[in-house]
Amino acid sequence: MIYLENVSKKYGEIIALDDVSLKIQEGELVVLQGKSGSGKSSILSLIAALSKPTEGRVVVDGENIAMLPDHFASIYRREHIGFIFQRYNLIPTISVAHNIMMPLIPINLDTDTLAQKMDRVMQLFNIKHKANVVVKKLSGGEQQRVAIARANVNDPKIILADEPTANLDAKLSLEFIEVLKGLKAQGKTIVVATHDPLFFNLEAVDKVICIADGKVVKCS
Amino acid sequence: MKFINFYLFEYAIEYLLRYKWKNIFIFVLLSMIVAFMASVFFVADAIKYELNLGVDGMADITLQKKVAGMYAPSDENFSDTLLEIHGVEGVESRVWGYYYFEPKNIQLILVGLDSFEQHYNDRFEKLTNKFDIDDTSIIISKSLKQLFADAYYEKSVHFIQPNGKLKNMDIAGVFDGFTPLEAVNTVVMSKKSAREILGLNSNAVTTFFLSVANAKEVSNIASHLRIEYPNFSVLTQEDIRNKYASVLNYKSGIFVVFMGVAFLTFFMIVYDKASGLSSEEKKEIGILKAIGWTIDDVIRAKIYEGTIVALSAYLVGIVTALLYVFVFQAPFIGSIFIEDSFIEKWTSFAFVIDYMVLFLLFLLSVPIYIAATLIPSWRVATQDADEVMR
Repeated sequence: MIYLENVSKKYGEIIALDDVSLKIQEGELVVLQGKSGSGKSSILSLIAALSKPTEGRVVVDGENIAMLPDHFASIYRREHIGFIFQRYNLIPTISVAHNIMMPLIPINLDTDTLAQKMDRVMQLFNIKHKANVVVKKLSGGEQQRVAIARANVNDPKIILADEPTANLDAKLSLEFIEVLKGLKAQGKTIVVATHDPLFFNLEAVDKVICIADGKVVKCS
Repeated sequence: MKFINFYLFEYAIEYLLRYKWKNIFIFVLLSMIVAFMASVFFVADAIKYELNLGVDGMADITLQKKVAGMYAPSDENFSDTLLEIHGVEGVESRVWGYYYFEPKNIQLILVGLDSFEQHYNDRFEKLTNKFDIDDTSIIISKSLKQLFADAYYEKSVHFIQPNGKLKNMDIAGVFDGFTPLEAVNTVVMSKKSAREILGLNSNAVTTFFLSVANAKEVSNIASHLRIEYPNFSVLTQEDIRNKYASVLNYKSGIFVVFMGVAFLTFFMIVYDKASGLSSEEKKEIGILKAIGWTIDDVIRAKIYEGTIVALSAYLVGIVTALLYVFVFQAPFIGSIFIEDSFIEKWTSFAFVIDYMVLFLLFLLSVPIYIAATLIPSWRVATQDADEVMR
């Protein structure tokens, strides 16, 4: 379970989140809805322990991850979180396979296990045929599949997606939603930050949390 | 967990290849600086070694007459006077002089020895025991024999005497066991022949070598000689060693300036590298942290990266210097060190390696470069990944 308790986040004078509390149950697909700059991405960043709250607690599976030292925050991300960034945050000058392999490098797995894990996600997200292509030569949709594959290569329990359809056309957006459904079916907890209306009335979505000006508000 | 993470190593190589031109430039520059510095040290050490070896084989005190500041021959009987000096154990007179050998454009050193004489130098002693030096033969080094052969003097050599007549000398043997410094252009012959070729009187000698029984007395005797015989140049082993050392140190000094400039260039690059990363490089570290890399993982990757560049550049630099000095005989640097009149030509450098110098070069290049790679990456890696990616 993910639990944010009275969380505030400030970047200098700018208040990104103001006394936010919310709960996400294990296996849920939750949509954080709000305009750009509302604070959705800040919530994802806190759940991923990419930043620390100015005040409040961020509890994941009973542990306050806001208190984790940097080293353990990295290990927490490696073991529990798969993050699909808005601009994918891939390394553009290396191959698809190398990008997907990146989260596995520090684990130092044996070659066979590594190959199995890579093979599994590349097949699952239909990108194996592009394994040796340099990422910058891929289309937007292909790059997103690489980002999803990378987020899943460690088989994390929690998938966070920040504006995943912002750079996709309608067809690719629908394809992405199918991917999310598949991940939910595997029992993963999924949090999507978006202002794309495609997500709001989806049957697969368990909860929509609306964010405005850094606060949880009632959805209109 | 395995000790070495080869995936991390592979990532480091792949990262270097992505910025290959920048890294190749640094690699070449660092290799050249290390090669240049190591070559200078190898050459200087080899020369020092040879000179010390040569000086060790010299007499305790060397006397040469001077007339108006120029070296001049003395009467051989003067050795009896020198022998009367308290503390002087033995005196050996020598006839030697330079002879310009035009066909090969080389200054030969003609050394006159007589077989029956005692010699201060073991190697000359062995030489006179081994070969019968008569008035029509010479003993030379292997390299000089080759040089004469190149000029079509295979069995004998003609020397031009001061009266214009030719003196034919047979090559009676080839000596070994001498240092390159001694051997390279030395022609050993009888005193009589040397006098004839050098235009000296029958009782003239050029140098006296004094053996002193008590080593502690050498400087006292030398002082006494300087006062008693101001028309003689008096040199102890220590004086000769200092003379060589001062010439070498002066040469080394020029190179220290060059090396200073070279290292300054390297440090400027290192400073530039240490002062920051490009936005692309920063973002990559942010991404790596966001997908689960710890600060340690980033640091290890950067250590691999810096080590690959710096260590390989260091090793290439050292191997290049070894080849340059000991295989190709250090063209340019060697000739700058060995142009003085006391070393006419050099055949090969003694393989003398000062491991402290190698260690010093290692310290000045590898750890500094690794630190320069590490510091900016560590700075970025310790920030929040979220902040870095923004």
